Amino acid sequence: MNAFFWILRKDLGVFFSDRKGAAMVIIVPLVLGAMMGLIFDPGGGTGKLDVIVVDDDHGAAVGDLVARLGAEPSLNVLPKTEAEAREAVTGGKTGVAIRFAPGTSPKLTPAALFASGDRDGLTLWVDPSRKTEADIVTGLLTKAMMESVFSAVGDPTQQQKMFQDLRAGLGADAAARPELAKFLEDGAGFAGENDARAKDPATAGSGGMALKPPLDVKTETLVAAGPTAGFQSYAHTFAGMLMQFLLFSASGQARNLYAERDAGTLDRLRMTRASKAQILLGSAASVGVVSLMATAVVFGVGMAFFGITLRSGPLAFFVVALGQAAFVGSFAILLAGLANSSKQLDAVATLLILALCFVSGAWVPTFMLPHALQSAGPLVPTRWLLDGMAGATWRGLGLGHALECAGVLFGFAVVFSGIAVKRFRWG
Amino acid sequence: MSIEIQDLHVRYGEQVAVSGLSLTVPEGSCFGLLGPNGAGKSSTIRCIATTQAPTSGTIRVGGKDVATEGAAVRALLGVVPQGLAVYDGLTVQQNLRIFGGLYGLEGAKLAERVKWGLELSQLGAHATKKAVELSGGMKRRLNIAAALLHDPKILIFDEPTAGVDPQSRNHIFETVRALHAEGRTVVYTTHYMEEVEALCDRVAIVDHGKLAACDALPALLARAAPTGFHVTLKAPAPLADVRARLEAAGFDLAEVAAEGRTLESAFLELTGRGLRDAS
Repeated sequence: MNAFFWILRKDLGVFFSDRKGAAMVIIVPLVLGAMMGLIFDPGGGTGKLDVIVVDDDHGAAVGDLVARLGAEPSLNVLPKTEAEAREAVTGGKTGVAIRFAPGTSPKLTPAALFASGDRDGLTLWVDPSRKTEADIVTGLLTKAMMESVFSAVGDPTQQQKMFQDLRAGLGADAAARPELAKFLEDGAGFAGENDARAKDPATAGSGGMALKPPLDVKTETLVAAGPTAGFQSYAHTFAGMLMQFLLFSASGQARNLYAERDAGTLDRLRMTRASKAQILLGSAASVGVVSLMATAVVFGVGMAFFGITLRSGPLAFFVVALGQAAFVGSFAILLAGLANSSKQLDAVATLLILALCFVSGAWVPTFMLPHALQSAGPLVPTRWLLDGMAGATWRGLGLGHALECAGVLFGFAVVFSGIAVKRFRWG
Repeated sequence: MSIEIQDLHVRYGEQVAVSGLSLTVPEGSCFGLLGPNGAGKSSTIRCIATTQAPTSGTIRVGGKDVATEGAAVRALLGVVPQGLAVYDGLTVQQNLRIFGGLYGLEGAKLAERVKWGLELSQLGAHATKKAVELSGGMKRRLNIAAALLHDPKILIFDEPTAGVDPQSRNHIFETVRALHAEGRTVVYTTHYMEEVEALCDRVAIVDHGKLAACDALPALLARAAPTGFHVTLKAPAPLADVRARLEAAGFDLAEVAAEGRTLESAFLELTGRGLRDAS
């Protein structure tokens, strides 16, 4: 057997000497693959986009429209009041809210497809960081409106026949069926206008007038810091990338603990006055300090060169940064406690970090996640961290929101630290 | 401060590391703990140092029970581990300050002990060097100084001379002797018998987790049947003359050798006894 095969045999022997670690190398990609499949599989993907509906009209036509939205498999319609809707969108809990103003139902008529009068009544309140969701809702809303309106006149084949029949015999029924008569008159007028535009040399070739939904969708972005505050994409991306970096940095610290265990320095620490909790929490605190320093530098640069502003004030930002420091520090020792070797650590860290980033929406928009995972958001610290960072920066949700998010992060830190101290093995 | 071990058992699963070991390290002694690899020395040391819980049995250090008074025991002990358990990324001084701080030293007392540690290890000229930049012998000395900052009454040296040059080894011997002379109890484990003979006044030999022998060094040596005699001349004489006169007297000689000139003594004579890296 030549040297190549001896090396191969040696490395495989070393690899499989840690059976749990070797198993995790296989299990982790399986779990991640399953997770990605769950998200992107068109058949099994059950991702639903939350959309709030505020029905201040209470009419039959709006009711029908809301029911059609509710039947959409990709939407999760949440009826709310106007105040609730504004709070949810402003706080970033829901990306889009649709509000139907009083008096909207009468405008949802086939005739409105052609009429050019009052088309108000429908407002979309949008979280500016989630415009993609707003675009999806706008499309589905338009589809629902067209279906709702056309449902009054049957399916497309019947519509064609009905137009022909009514055109032939409308004279006698016009008075009894004014809506249909108006619809056909408007339709005829619409066609006539299109015909005239085509013949007019000034407008010829510019295309005809298109059918329009009966209502215009008016979009307003809602930000707590004010209508002119707007979304700061850099604040969003800096927070997400920083979080991921800090989580990977935390796994590095967990690896350092194992290195210390191997080198004997951990045993030496145990021979001093330091208790297990002090050694682990001290180690966690070092990660926390690095986290605070990295946060200060990243957001300092962001504020200086990328237009990031702390709309809730520096104190609120500092509170969230402290929560972040506590969370990532405790995450480092949690990893060291959950794994038992460097190989196991690599697998556990990769799995947890990727899962935390997925569920928090750091990599893909949360509406793409299965609904169960969306609901699990509040159970993961990274969601609170990103919410806290957004609230402290571009959303401007104030000190109270920062304290709430930081409090939850500190809670996670306490639980993680407890598990770490209980589970960590010296050797 | 003495160490009393009673019926110590240590098991790792099915593997028995120590099996009913009982011995006493008298106060003020320099106690050699000998045994082949796997004899149970390291497990015993770990139990004394409170980093390993015995499966059964009791250990009292300075009258304190390691099982129930771990913190008090650790305050009495200075354990020099076999491995170079210092932080490579930190300077010599930072290493000493951190370990001193972890032993509860503060302020002026800490500064004083760090200075003492630098003097003991003769690393004062390298105080601001990172440990990773030190030679093996220098690291070994730092390893020792870091364990002694809190002025422990009982010192445990676990193979402290592994991988060092003769000068550093000589320095370590002098350090052990000086600390012992100050009245401290010393436990010294090694594979090198000559080190035990040079340093220790009492020796225990363990094998298969059990005590094979424990006695004062001369008494232990006296147990073995003599294979030769040691003759000391009042005045130096050529080795050939000594051999010739002994043969003339009718002795059947297997070997006649000059003493006091080992390879190590010759090496130290030729290269000097002082540490090469002290300045």
